[in-house]
Amino acid sequence: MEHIRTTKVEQVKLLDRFSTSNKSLTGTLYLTATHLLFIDSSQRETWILHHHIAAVEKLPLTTSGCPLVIQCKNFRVVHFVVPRERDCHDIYNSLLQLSRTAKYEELYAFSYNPKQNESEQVKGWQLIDLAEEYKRMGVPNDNWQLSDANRDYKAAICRCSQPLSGFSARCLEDEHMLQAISKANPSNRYMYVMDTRPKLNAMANRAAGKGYENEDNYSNIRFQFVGIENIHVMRSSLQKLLEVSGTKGLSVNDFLSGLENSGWLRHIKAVLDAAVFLVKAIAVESASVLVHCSDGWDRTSQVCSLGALLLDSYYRTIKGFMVLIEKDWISFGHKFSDRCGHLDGDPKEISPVFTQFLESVWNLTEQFPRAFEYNEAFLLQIHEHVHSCQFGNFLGNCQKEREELKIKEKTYSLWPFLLDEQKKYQNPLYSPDFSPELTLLEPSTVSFNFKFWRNMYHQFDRSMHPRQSVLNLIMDMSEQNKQLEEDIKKLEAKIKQRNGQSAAVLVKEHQQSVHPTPTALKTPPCFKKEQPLIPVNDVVRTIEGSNTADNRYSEFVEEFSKAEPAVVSLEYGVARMTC
Amino acid sequence: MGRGGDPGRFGPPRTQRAVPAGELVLEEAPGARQRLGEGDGSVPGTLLCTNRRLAFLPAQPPGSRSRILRSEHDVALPCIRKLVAASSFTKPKVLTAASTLKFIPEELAVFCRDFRLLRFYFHEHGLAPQAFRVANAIAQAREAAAWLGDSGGGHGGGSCSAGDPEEKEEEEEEEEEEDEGSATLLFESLRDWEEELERLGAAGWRVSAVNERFDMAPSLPRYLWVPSGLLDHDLKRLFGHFEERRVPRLCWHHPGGSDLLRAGGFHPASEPGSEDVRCLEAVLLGGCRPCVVADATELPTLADIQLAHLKLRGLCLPGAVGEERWLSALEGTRWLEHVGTCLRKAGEVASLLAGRSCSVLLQEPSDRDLNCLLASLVQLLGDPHSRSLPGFQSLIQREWVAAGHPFPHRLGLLRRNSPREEAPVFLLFLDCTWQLVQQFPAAFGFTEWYLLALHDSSFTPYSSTFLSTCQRQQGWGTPHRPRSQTYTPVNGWRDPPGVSGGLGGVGWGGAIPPLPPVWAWGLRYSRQQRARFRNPPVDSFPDPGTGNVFILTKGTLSPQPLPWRSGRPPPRLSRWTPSLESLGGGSSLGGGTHPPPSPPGGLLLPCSAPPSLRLWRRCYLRGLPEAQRGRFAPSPAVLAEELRVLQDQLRSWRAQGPPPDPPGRPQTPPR
Repeated sequence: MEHIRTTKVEQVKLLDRFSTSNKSLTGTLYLTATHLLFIDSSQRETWILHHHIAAVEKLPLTTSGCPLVIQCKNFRVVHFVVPRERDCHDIYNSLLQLSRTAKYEELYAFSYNPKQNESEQVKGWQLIDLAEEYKRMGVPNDNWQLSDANRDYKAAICRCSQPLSGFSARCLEDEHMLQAISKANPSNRYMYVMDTRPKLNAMANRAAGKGYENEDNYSNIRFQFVGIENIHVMRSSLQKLLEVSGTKGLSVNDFLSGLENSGWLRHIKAVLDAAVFLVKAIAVESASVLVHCSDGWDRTSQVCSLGALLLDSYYRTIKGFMVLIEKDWISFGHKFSDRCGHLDGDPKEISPVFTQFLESVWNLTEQFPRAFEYNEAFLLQIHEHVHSCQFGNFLGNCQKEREELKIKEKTYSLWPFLLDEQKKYQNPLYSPDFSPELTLLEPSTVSFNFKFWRNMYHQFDRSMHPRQSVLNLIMDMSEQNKQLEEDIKKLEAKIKQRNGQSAAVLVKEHQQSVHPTPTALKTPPCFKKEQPLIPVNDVVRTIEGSNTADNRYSEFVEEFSKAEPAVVSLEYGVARMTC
Repeated sequence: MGRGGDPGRFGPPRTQRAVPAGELVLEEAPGARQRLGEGDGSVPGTLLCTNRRLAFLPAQPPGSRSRILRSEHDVALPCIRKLVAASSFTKPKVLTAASTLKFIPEELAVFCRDFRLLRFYFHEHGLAPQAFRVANAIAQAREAAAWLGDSGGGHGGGSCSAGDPEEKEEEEEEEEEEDEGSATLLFESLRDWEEELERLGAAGWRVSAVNERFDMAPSLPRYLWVPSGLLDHDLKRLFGHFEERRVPRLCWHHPGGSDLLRAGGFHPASEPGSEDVRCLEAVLLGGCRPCVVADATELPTLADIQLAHLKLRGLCLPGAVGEERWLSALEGTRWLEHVGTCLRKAGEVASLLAGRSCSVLLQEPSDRDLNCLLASLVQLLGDPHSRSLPGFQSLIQREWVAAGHPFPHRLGLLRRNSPREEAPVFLLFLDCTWQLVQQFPAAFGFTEWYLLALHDSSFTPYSSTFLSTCQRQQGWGTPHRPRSQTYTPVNGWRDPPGVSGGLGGVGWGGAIPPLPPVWAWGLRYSRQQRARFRNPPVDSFPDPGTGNVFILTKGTLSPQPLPWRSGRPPPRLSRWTPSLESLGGGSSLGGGTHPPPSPPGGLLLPCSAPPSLRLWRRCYLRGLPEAQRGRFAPSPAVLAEELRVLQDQLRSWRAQGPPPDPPGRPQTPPR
């Protein structure tokens, strides 16, 4: 690549971000066409994908060398000290170039090759099919043509952008449309119109000939503002949050007040509040709801998708969540490339709208630990790839753009890879029917129910993690249990076979029970690089990086498909768990 | 409250049976309902006020037997912090003994010291008189209980025996009165001390009975661990030089050889002679190791703790904080900050003990508060045994109960307390432990539920554990007796039944059955509840601590001899220790070797960085039902049990080979 001048620098120090005593690791820094790689003296590797880099900064020279700070979109922050300024400068310049791609075609997804053949690629893209999803929801039906609705309720969630009404003017077309929607709902003649903006913002928009619905001009609507702030407020809020959480030697008190002042949790709460309002209108009043903001692709996506998640348990499955993202985010034109800054463009377009959605979902999983089939690792992995540009799904700003880019021919879809590694993303506590009344989730949005998402914002800061994870523990144990049950079945089958050689039926049964291979044994195909095997319980991870399978939750259970689980397990249970 | 004396008022036999010996029902209101959660859910039942507690007996289907004491429906009278009566006609009113009720309450809210909020309501108008009476009775009884508790034993109150309510009706429960109950060392007998010393493998230390009659140091336990080489005769020289005569003694011996000691402050007026100093050095430098003095200066003071806890209580009331200000209000309590400080300090001491073979002396002026906390936290971090359920109970028994933590004063259970004496150091310790359990869920043999139960039990008068200020007092059988009353040993040994049951004349004929320790969990917690106490077992930890495991930054920990002769405590510990993160982070400093992801030897090094410290919501936010959603996931214990069953099964298959006649169905436990 023309941007790379230096490919290897030795004796580079990687400083611990939170160490007050400037603890560091020494190793070698490599620059490849796609990744920045640091290998320390104990051969641990840190991979950073160029697309993940949000900012590179060269700090003033110190006695030990030239400091280089890299901030990533997945909230990793690394602080290198390069001994010679010259090398540092080269790397800095290369990274600046490499992390700012000008054209879509230069993104990693267009060169990434996971060794799939073409039919697999096509199949991968067909995995999530929206037409099928609409069929599942029961539309089109007598009342609805292809649109966005919810199967279980006659009421519907609709979405749009703001009406072009302007000051005092009316927008007749819009009035007719709304009437049509409200007629489509036989059970409640009223409908809600939710404007997800704060009222002030909506009024300001009037000056530009846009605005919001006036209840008087529409028959049978109830209008409601729900006050989610705009993308610029969200961006600076996140910035404040990161500044607080990145402070060295932070005291408990500074952390709490910093967290509060960033307003971040308040924004998450506002989003979830809006979703709860939506759900109440639909489920309790059976009223249809039209949701909009200014453009209908940010706040509207957040609210509609969360609403759907609360209403429909299908979206709480792994596959369903993929469908939800495809439907409410990708196909409805959330501007992923702009919001995530995939290309070098207007920094004011960047905003953590999707991150907020994931965080809202995480908060829900905390409140309803048994209602979701997926776990935190799944959300983190999706977040990773929304920014990685390794798969085609999130490239571009709308469906049209994606078609022009021939995404489906030239790149791969993320979903089949996630499905292949499903095991890692399963919530061991999930129980789809443990409580039937929970089809409809009613989260509490009292502010103390919103917690700082440590595993997102400190995903790569090992010192910040709890030393053991209950989730991992439970996953290990349930995996062991499964394995043992299987072993027992096998043994029983053998006995049956021995006792009743003559009975053909038993033999057949035996054969069946022996053959199924645990899916965990498959190598996840999107591992770019061989990973050293890491003990499952080793919560304090030693390898980090940013290739696909590489956020810290990625390796869980493979170990347990080995033989002799009876011996392995308890030792694990104890020896490994001590620290 | 005279009504209770009349047995005729006890009503149906069921009610009577439900009261332990020595307890009197003062008032009862059948047909009350207890509200559940936020919504309209409620259970019907009877609201009782006795001379010891307020209890709600949910209506039972006839014939079913319920437990006498039910942790979830009982509030011991001293545990009631505030009693509020409400009706739709007037403003809610706070009830005290002095200001009684002037209206018929429709609802009664009981704010408890353990952060619970119980709400009862009386929905039928026919209930008016009972509602009125029971509300007043509670207000009165609460006052009375608090006073009586303070004025020495004997008057029923909080101090008299709960009898043995588990007798008879609880046979099945009792017989499995579990291993941990018996495995818990109470450290009242010489044997316990010897047994524990042996477990620690502390060669060079012995049990001294020099304080057997509590004449050396009244607040110290009967038995002390001191160096084998030191004669009791020499030891006696030391008592006078320490505040409250609390001499340095061993708490814990690290398998790597270092010792953890604790002591009171140097007595300001003492002038140790050279012989005294020699004895002192013999204690502290037992293993010829340098000894580091860790004082409590960095830790929060009693006043800090009390203030933080008060604010925390205020914060956790319904509607106390505006939505927007939750985090800054939490910050304002400083509670989490104190938790973090204690954890950090304990981590430093624990890594000192594990990392270098130096001994650490914990020194606090009184040696009865933060030393208890620190000594037990350090052991939790360093000693896997103390993380098992019996081990933890033994730990509390030794470092808190026997060591003379003044529980009744600190928990504010005494009416006559000067306000300065209240400081829930023990609750702070439980919070620290909870943080550890959160951070190392697999390292502990007990769960959050257990800690909650312990938290709540510290307010109940049904166990002896938290009712005395030191071992000497516990021996009297009548807690709360101020030590100045010199006549008490005679008088208080055995209160005549007439005095004990004075209010109602319910005698128990002869000896007072001693109060059980809090560890008899079967008393208040059902088998089901107790099952939730346990975490998967942690019994086969590798033998900890062979050799140095840490690579510490050079020079940060140079062993220092104690500056005894100057009479001043040496500089603060933190100057010599590496910061926690340099140990806990695990990423090597020295390079070369593969850094261990975590230090071996069962040493836990907690993260005390702000995002890792959490509010113990299940405890503190119990009064806010809306905060409780979603934290009731099943525990790993269930899975671990399943795993064990399966492994047993598998083992037996393998051992026997296939049996000739295979069982019809596989015993797969339900998933």
